Amino acid sequence: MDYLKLKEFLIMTELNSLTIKQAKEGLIKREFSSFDLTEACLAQIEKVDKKINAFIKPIAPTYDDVVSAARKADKLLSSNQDLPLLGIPIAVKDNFSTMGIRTTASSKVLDDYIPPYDATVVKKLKDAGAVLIGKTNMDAWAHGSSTETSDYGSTKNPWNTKHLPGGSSGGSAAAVAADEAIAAIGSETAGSIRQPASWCGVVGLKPTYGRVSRYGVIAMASSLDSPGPITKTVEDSALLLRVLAGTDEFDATTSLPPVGDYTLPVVDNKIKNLKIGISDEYFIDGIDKEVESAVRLSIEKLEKMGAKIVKINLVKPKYATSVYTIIQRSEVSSNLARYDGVRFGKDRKLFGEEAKRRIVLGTYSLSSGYYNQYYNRAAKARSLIVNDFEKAFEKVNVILGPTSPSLPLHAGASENAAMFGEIADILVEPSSIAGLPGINIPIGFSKSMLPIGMQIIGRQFAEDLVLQVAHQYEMATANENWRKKRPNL
Amino acid sequence: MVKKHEISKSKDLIISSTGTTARSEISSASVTYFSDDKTRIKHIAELAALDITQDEGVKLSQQLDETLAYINNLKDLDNLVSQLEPSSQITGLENISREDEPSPSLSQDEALKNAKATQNGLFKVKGVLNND
Repeated sequence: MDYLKLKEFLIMTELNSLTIKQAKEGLIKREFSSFDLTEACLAQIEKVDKKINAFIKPIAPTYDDVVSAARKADKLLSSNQDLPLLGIPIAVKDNFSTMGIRTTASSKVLDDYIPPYDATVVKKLKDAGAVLIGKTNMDAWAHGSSTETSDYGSTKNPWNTKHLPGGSSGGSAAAVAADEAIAAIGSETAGSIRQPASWCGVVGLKPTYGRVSRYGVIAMASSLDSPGPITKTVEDSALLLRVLAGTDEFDATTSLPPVGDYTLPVVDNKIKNLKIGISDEYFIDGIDKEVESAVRLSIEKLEKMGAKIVKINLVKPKYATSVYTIIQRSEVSSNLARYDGVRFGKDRKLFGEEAKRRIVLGTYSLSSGYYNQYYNRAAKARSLIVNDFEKAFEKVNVILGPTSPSLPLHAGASENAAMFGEIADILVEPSSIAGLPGINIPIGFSKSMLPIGMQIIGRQFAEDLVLQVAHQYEMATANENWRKKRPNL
Repeated sequence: MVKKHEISKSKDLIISSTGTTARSEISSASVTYFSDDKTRIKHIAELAALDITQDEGVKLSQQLDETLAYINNLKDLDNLVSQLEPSSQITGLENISREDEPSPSLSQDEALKNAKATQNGLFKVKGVLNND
């Protein structure tokens, strides 16, 4: 078969639309090779990425490198090696350092930066046998919730390319939604995994802060940054988290409790008598009506599955937005101070508008005379939010709410909106500030065929419970018609 | 939009347990720096080593005020948080250390590979103390 015919064939087989679990089964049974699987993803990228721009161009690693990684995986498979991600093509957000592969964080400041080492997350993926298929587009420096601040052009929402994919991990979420990769890695400071996952109709997990190492991730706000998986199913999310999680000698903030076996078979009736907290404060003024009714309907479904719905009162999310804005911008101004064009990267002149905006506020809030007014006040309010969740978790097992207050917005929506990202992420900021794990799962579509998501939040290190609840919801709604829809690209 | 500099100047001086004197001394100077829009952004840009054009400065100043107006809602919480300690992190971890043992690291070549200018195996930087 010549190469063009092979590619046509692979597109027909739709191997690229498989989940990690399905792909693993196929690889182990020798139904197809990692080469076939990888080629199917590459063919899909070639077919659709000009429309959605989920990957940084030119796509790195090179075709030859990707294929040789797949061939290497095939060799290991044929010798019956058992690695959790052996031969699975995975896309990685471009703020994860990749040894020998350009890493820009979507900023021209790092346009020619070739890291001399791998981020711990990347090393863990490689050790688990994954095939790195490309680096995904994002808001520059992860500043934003639209990917419109990328210096390499915005990513588009695969469900409707006139709409935004969300961000900052918009490229990773879009790549998974468009079946350009079997799964992807994102990072969240407050919303950057869950919100694009919600807008692109995929599963996005933000782990407990410290559960996954930040070593080698281009830092945004160091007290908040949390790498995590973006996947097609909750099961895949669990599988990836198990690979990614753990202490790291290179990141002193990684957490000590042992990593759970998130992939344990689902215990029946986990939902029965589970106390799910619902806070009316999360159905904020101005929330999209379709989002609200979809989430309320999902809550009813969980109630029918045996859950007990408990009303709780949480601090209004608008205060979390302020806390987050101050803390994040303060940490941004400090983290971006290192880019001096001396050791790596280019001149500070190349910072885009959003980075400058954040550096300005951060520098202001940390400057003498204003520190108490802003940073210190925010740090105290952060304690209030942490305590608020602790109290809530005395009464409930998990908290549930909409992930985003809106449907995916139109392209261009972030322009000249000084706090676009912070407002778009209003419902995920409180849990991020408190370092809690949270997952977005798709729950349906709007009349206009745009995805709607719901988030489940747990106490620190309760990833196992959060994943189980999400998984059981996914199983119980597996046959709903909307799940059959695919983006039309 | 927030009325500019409704923030009272004297009461905002830091009165914390750490660095009280130093901060307070600089504070009176920086309050003047921040006293009008132009010098405010100019001073921040200097502190942050950013090149900002005049047009950018006007826009950034306006957006800074918009953002400050929003985050001022934290004042609503002042009574609730007055007794709380500030949280700068949420891990509860303290003093994570390791033995100070040498281990392999980047080679000199690898470390210099991304530098725009090197000399004798070192990073080359612009003069810091001279004016030329």
